[in-house]
Amino acid sequence: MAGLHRFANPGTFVRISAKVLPWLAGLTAILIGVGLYQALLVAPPEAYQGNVARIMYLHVPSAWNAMMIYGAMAVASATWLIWKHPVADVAAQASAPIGAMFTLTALLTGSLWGKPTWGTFWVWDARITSVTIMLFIYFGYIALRAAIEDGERSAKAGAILALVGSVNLPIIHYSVVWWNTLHQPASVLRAGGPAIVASMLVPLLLLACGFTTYYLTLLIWRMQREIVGRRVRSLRVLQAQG
Amino acid sequence: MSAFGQIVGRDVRLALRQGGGSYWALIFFVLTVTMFPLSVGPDMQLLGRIAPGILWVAAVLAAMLSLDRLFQADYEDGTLELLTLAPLSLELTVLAKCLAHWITTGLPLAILSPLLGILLNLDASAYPVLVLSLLLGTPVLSMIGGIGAALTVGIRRGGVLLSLLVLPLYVPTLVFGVLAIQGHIDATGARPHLFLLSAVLLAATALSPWASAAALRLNIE
Amino acid sequence: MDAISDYLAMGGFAAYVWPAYVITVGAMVGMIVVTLRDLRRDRKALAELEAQNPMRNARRAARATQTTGIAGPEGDDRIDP
Repeated sequence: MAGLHRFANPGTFVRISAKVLPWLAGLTAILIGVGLYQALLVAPPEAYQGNVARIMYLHVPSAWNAMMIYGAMAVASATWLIWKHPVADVAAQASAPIGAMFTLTALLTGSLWGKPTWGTFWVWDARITSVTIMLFIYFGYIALRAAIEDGERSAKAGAILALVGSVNLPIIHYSVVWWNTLHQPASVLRAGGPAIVASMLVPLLLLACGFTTYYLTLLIWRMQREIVGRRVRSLRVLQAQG
Repeated sequence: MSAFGQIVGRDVRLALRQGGGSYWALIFFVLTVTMFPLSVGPDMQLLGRIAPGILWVAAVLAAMLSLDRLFQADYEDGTLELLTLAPLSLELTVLAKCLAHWITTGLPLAILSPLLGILLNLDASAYPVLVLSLLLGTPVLSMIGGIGAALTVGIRRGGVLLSLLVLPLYVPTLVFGVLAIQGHIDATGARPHLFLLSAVLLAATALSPWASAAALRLNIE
Repeated sequence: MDAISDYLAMGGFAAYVWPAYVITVGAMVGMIVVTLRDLRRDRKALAELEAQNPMRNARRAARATQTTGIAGPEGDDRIDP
């Protein structure tokens, strides 16, 4: 643990992240740039759905990230609860808005994809429904963190909520799948996913990796902002006390 | 009488004596159910079909109504601090308070629900399943709600935030509860749903006191 | 010219494909812009606060924030002689 503890110091984090950041940001720009080029110009129209399937290149990576970021948030929260690494709490707090954004873009792009393919913007499909509920859990976390001013209390309350959420999300997903199979025996969604060919896989993987490095890049920026912001707040409090 | 029983008894007496939470939640339950015929129209067939959903949603909202008072009064007058020092572990104390909350809200809601089933033209043979699903489900609402109440206990006007935190976590309970009644009505069977609801109840009983107690400790220290 | 307008039409799905790309890329860029703007603003505020009374403030902040988890400036060593 001694090795890990070195990273718990925000100073160490600030130094290391400053070194990693330019590489990460550059990699993100390349991955997403090439990925978008491939997705919009190189990949052929999908055999059955045509050009509208190009939405998949954004929708699927968004959805992957939305779930992965919740997992990262839960791990960071647990790390904070167990070892009290301040950086872990900052990471959890900085992750939530990014995760909420990807959840939202996954839902919006899914909607835009759904209208021409299934004829409706919205279906109460199991996956859509549980992702929607995940969005509300993200919102709850963000609201709770914002409502508690005291740093330590906010961190602990957030960590507990994130972990309660991570225990609940699989149960929620299971219950929604159960509910859905009983209500809609033949789901429109499972009828025909796009048949993936290699030229479609390239942009999909590029963008999936690009979205992940985007998350890491933005995470570092948001963590730096949070660390600086917390120090500004504590200095202001000290100043007010005279 | 055990310390656990004493806490339950004290909280139940307080809830009933102050003419507070308990009765209002029941009236709220009836009132919410009444809003549905007024909004979707008096078509008895339609109402009969959506009755399980209406009753469960109304029960969820009514059970949530008094949640913000679960720890608030004890937090304000310092009783909560004393309870953390008591020989009974905070986890059990929390469980006792949730049980008291259920006795004063969930239990009366479940008993009252067949009456509202009549108003909504719910199939009469479904009443036992309706009551049973509420008896199994409402304790979960009290216990998960306890986590939310413990997290927001120090926050001024935390009531709205509390509902935002708790409602998404209520989804499995609501789903299994409604499906049990519907399963009985369309003769596909209520049993599997009731079993799942029981599993949720057991899991909530085992896990939620830890989360609530941890959340309370952070707000007391 | 036709090739470009054909391409932009996205086989009749332009009304769905382009908004999806604009919303997603817009949200991702927007979040970076907002974060960097706030980061710059907070760094400026921090520099001003530390300039007002570097020795006392920095040390006391470091001590006071030990409990809230964020220790003093990375240059603790820089300030202490």
